[in-house]
Amino acid sequence: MRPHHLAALAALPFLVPAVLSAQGTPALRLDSPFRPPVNFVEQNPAPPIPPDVTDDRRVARNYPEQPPVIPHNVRDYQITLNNNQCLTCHSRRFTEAVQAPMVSITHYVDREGQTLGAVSPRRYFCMQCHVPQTTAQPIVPNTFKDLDSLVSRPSDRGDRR
Amino acid sequence: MPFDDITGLGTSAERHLASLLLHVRPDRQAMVRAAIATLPGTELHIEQAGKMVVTVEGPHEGWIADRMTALHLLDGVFSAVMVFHHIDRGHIDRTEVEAAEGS
Amino acid sequence: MLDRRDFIKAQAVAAAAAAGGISLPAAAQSSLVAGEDTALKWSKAPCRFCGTGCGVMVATKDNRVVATHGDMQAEVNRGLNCVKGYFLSKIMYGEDRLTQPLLRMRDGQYHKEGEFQPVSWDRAFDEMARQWKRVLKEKGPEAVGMFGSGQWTIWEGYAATKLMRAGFRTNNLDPNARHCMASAAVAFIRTFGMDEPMGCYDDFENADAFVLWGSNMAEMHPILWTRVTDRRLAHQHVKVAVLSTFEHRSFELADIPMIFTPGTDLAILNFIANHIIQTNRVNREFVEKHCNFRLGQKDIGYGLRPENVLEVRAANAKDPTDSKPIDFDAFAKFVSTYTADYTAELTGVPKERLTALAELYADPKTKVMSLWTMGFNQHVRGVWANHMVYNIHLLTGKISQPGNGPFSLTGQPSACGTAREVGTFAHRLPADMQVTNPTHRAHAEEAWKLPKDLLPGKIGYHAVLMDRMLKDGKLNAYWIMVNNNLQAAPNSANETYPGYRNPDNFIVVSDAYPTVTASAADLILPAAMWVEKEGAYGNAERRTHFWHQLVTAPGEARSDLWQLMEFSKRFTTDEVWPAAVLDANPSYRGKTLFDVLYRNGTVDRFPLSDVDQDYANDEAKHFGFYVQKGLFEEYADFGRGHGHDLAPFDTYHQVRGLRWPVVDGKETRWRYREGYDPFVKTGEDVRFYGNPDGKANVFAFPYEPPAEAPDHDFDLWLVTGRVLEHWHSGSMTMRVPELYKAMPMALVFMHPDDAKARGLRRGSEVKVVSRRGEMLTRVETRGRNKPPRGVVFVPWFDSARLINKCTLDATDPISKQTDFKKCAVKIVAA
Repeated sequence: MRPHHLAALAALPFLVPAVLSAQGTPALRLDSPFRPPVNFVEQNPAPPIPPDVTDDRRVARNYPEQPPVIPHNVRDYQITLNNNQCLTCHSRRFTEAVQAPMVSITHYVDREGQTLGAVSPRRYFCMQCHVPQTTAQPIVPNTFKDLDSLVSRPSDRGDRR
Repeated sequence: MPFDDITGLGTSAERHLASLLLHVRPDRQAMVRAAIATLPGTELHIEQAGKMVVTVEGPHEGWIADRMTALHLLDGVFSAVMVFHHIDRGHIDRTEVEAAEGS
Repeated sequence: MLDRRDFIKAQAVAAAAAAGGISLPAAAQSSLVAGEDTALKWSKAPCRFCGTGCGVMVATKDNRVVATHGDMQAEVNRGLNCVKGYFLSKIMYGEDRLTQPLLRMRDGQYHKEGEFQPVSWDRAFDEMARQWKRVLKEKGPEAVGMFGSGQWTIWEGYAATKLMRAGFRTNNLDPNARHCMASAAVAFIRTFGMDEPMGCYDDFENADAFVLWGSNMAEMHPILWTRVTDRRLAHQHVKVAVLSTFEHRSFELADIPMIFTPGTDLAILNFIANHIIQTNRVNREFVEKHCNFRLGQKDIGYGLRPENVLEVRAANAKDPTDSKPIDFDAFAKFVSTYTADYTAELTGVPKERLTALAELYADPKTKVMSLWTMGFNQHVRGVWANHMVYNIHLLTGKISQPGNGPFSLTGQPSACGTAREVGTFAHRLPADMQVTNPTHRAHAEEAWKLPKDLLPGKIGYHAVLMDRMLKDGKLNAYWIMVNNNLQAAPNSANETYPGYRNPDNFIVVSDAYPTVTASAADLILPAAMWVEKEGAYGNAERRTHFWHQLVTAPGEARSDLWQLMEFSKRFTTDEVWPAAVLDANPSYRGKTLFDVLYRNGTVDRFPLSDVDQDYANDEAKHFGFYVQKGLFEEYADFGRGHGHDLAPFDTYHQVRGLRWPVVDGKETRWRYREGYDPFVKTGEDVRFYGNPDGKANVFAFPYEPPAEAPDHDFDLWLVTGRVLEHWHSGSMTMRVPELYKAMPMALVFMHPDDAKARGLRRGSEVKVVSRRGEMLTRVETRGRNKPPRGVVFVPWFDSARLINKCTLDATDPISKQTDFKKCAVKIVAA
């Protein structure tokens, strides 16, 4: 397994107004609220399947409670009854060797609030919350503002984990 | 609350911060308050009858977990539930960037 | 200068305080954060997405949502969210939010073929009312209709049901929940006399076995899946069986995995019943005391247009609901043909696995929970499938007790709370009452303080029939709220779109975003969403939960409640009610529908001052009384005292939801069982009190094949469904960059050998073609869904790739719910 080198401080991609679709979408007509793929009659050609982002650069979170996205390839990762491949790098025991971020200790707490010696079974399927990202560019920009930008404090450049 | 050598924060690259919700026996609240004051890196923020909000800061997860266990075991504490956990790696950015570029 | 550490710490403290229900004193808050400008306000709300009904904490600042996290106090999820839930903060902030009404215009006038132009609310409602009055005058109440939603808040659904049934005097009101769980709702009532599950989510921590009937909980109900996972991994004896027509993520936890031929789940269910009987594991005492047996009607058709050859050929297409009483022995004989050999042959599942599955039910020591959603419900025999799973729980008495029970999951946040409980189906009134029952109508007229004989008794058009009637020009004024039916409805190019663009029709769409459906409308009304209004939802375990308005809607966007009530002001009783009714009740003359429906002395009885002063309430402010409370209390009176009891309005703002019936302040976790359900008397043990004799019905039904199956020309099964990252048609989640980037387009998942046999491979551009339409996409052979040979899976979230142009508008003939899981397609290179 390739060690996951970590780079904090990837530029904050969510705060930059996203450009229009990489699918070759023309600029909007001002009188139409509809982004061009929204058209019932016309067939939209299917763009190539976008590849996953695998640059291992950690992406800043929008708020502390957001699960970080996965910046590496997880294709064919096995998570079964007997084996969880994510934890082979991200569990407390192995993070030192592979430099993967350790799962937060919130993950060691069970439904009743008791702290366990290992990751709580309820958190076993990592990808219910943590998802990889493709290189696809969102069709519609999102104007969410995080707290930092609302209180207009200078960015601390921090990786808010 | 001072960061000092006891917490290890002077040398470690990481900082961990967790907030805990404690359910306590109201009649033991004073004792629990005193005990928290003696635990380095632990700070009591809000107190209501039967409930306390405490933050714990330290250099690594194990440290936080140890404090949590200690709080849990205090006489008069029914439960200590972690609500929030934050890791700050701000001090080692440069090292990580170099590592990434080398990969 | 605010220190970063203090800032993070302040957030940590606020989160813990919120979790503990501790209010932060203002002084403490500002000292904590070294400045007022960073103070966040945390409030509770249910998640906007699925029927699981997770609790979230929402942080607001300067009239914007800035963060969300799982609510530690919410019993459903205890602090967890799925990836969609964690990104709730962003769903209201897609840049293309609709902020003003848009009307198709040409030369300054409404024109069916015109371009969308911004207009004022007055202008929008003027045109809409003009069209409604035209249609009512020309064709009467049966030509107006509304398509609502299990995403309406409880009071929105209730206001809509009053407006349509009592105001416009039509039952042409149906929710998109028709596509979602009509089969479940119908079977509940036919079996138990009352809708909705007897058990609750506490079953997850008590069961020894879980059986997923076609459900992919790992992706569709992720937080409930965490509870299954928790139970399975922490208790070695626990078993999980996963049944599906293709392999998916839930198989990762499966002890008994099972891929069956589409539609043959019916045979597996009858096999299990037969196995229980043959191995003498019937709970005789339970069955004798608590069950009736009935033989159902067979050969009931497929809910297609009546002239379709499949309907003409079916012996009982006109009378699909009929049944007659039989005894246990007749039932045993009926299912005896479903032997292990026959069933294995029909389904393609090995005998040993079938037996292992059957043993989970047959073994009296194993507490078993059955779980299902669209696999059963979107099924041409969906009502049968629901009945058949009740059969195996009833035969063994494994029902209504902790860890033992059949559990119907729901897909929408208020499919239960609004669509079903409020009664927004074409055949229903509040609290499980039926429009065809004169006593029920009279009860509603009385509760609503309306003249006798006002409410219509004819069942209205159901979802698929609405589309057909729009196309055929029999339904002409149509209002679509909180749903995206042009993307969701089956066979849409032939049966849905033509109706929307039929020149005789006027189509209104209320939505927060410009969806495909909105693009085919004549008038678009901008809607406030989620925490932009005060709301209430009811989740799958009968939990009613509330939230406050936390931020203001953008621009001129208004809640559906405001829209419904404001529109009602444009009609007088003289315009819409029959003269005979007004002659007999002259005091109702000259009043607006708003006056008679919402200013009736009940809905408007709570003053503005009752509104929590810490929160805004734009509707209450606008109408001058606490509308939500008035509507809720009037509605709740329908169910109180007979098993649908809801707590007082204000209680729900304090708690993390309560499971009805709520009696003496206590919720009910297991219905129909003594000791848990206050409506079951001491000594009765179990009583299915929804039915007059207190017994549940066991129905005998056979296996019957789907409406369409692969053949030489169209050689693959098409199964449609959802993915983890997107909720339903994606109108919210496709606007969250992280969710979009995680799953940007709908691919066709297929077996690598099926691809190879067609000269295709992963990434090939292809057409998915059915007899009805086609859709362009790319092939995925290595994804999370792994269909067997002969089956392909395509999700329907992608507005650029509309798979419902291919699906078949066959429905269950009893529930009228579409089968989106079984039709025939071919895949060709594009």
